[in-house]
Amino acid sequence: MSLLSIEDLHVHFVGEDRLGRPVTARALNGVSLTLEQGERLGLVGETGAGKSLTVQALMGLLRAPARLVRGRALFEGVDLLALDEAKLNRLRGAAISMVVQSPKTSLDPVRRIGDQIVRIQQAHAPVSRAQAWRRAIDLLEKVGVADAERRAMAYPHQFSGGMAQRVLIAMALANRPRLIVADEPTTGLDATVQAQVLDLLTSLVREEGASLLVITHDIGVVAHYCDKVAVMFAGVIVESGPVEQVFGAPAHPYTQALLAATPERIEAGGKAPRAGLPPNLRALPEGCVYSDRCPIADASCRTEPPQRLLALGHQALCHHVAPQREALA
Amino acid sequence: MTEPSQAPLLEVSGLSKVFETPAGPLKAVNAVDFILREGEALGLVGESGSGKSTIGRLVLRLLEPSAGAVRFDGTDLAALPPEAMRRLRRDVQVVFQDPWAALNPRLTIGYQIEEPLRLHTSLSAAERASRIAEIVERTRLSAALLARHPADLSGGQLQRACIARALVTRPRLLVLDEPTSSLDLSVRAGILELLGELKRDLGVATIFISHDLGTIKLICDRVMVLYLGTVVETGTTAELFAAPRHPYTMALMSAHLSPDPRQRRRRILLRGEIPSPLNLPGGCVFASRCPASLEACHAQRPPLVALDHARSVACLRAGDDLASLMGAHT
Repeated sequence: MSLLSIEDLHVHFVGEDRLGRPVTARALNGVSLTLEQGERLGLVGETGAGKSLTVQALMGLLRAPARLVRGRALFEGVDLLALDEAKLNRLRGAAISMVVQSPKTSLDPVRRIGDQIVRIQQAHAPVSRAQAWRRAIDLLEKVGVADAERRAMAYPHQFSGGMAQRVLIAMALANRPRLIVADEPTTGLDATVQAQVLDLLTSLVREEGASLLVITHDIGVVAHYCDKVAVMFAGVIVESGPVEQVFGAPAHPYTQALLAATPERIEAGGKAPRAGLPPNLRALPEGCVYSDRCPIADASCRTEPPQRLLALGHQALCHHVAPQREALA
Repeated sequence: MTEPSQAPLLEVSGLSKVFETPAGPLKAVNAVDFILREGEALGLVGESGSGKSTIGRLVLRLLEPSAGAVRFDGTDLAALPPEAMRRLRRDVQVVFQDPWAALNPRLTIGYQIEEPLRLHTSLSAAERASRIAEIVERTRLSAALLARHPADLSGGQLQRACIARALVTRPRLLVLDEPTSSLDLSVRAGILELLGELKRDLGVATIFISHDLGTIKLICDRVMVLYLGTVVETGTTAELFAAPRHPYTMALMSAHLSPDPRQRRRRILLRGEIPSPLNLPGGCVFASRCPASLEACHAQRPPLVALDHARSVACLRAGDDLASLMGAHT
């Protein structure tokens, strides 16, 4: 059994246009992915791909006008999407924890850092304050906060962005999670600080034997900090597999375009791909969601594309992917 | 590209900017010198608080310097009367990071591209129309978009409109302040390609401000690396990327995540974070985080010293074998 298995997840936004007619934006269109124990998976894509929405659905954070149409998200065999709020609350912050993009707005501004780490422990287990406080200090030391005993007494505004992100990581680790979901964990941070935080996060995840799901738009983060990658476009995972294989031999035309768009590849003489507008989720093409901007699309692409297995664990959702990849290598 | 002429287009000397804040003086830019020749692209790279955007704003005279001078085409900007400053606005243009904030949501795209021509030139309506047609084609904006409002355009189209607006007066200097940072990767690629083309075809001198090394490497002829408002290293892009000489440049490059998982990095682990510009260290600005720092580094600020005709480094240890001292991990 996989630690996490998302199966055919569909989420729509339902609203009205200016004339009061109902409009449906198909934001997630059959997302499926699996994450094994101890694995680090990078979910990558551009604006409108549905990366964050996938996580929100998973964590039970969908709110109207978002509507769960169908799908399952099995965590250790239990469907998260079918759990009631009380049961979800026992999992969230404990077995599953989250690190988000803006650390400063995720911490309570009027509560001491140490108290916030105490609180998250006491919400899930009957530990004494003294015991939880000692663990808070240990955790702060573990994430590299110098002089942790004194810093635990400080308030969030006394922390820099990088330090606040370390505090969030400490909180995410507090209840020994088996899955950590990190949504753009280093996007607002400077390059040298980003490297420190990612080194820390991935080494702690390994140490604790937890699994990591990283949402990012940064190809470099996936390349260097993940074992597996899933590429999203218009609410569909168009390609997934081991990082070395997907980056070495991208199969789906969108993955190819995305990787070719990095400055490094352009510098190496690659032609920058022609960028289209973000996908229009209210009017997705029939069949393959990428077909209206795909350079190799033909009539067959108006039908649902097949999931093609290219190598062990490497698959792409495309009519035109050649299964014999060795011929291209 | 045009041949470099004798006199530099832009000459910046001793440029400093101090902001008075409730917490005390904030030294954003400290005695920065550089020159920019016709047609040249200079990259300013650094992290938050490095002063790169402040330098851009000082060059544009959106801010007044606390000390030092900015000379454009031989004239000190601070000494220019308002009328001459208006002429200068035609020659010096800017593109900012956030195209959604840079355009007026209530005016059409066409009106906003035309506006600098109305303000800074005496061209007739017909001449303005032909200029706009030319720049719209060059920036590959569809002419149909001119009648639209910003809300109807995508981020990439809006940024093309901002570039068109900046270039429509045929400026000699263009300041690009993180022009691709808020855009998706594939949209960014198109903008970078356009900027490369414009540099080649129009030969406009460019100051390119970015925190992204990959982008800088793609666009710029020369690079200036900034840390806490201070220039720590400067050189040609090719040489500086091939062999960085300042410990901070080395660390910055080692922190860059290339999109190739096979490219193993020599990791330089820095301790701590960037100190506050409210309380600048007395010695080298990087000494508190530098793996190779000596006691002397904390005592005095190292001057920017020319190593050869193109490279300058502000480091007491520039002559030592820094690469091995930095404790790079693979």
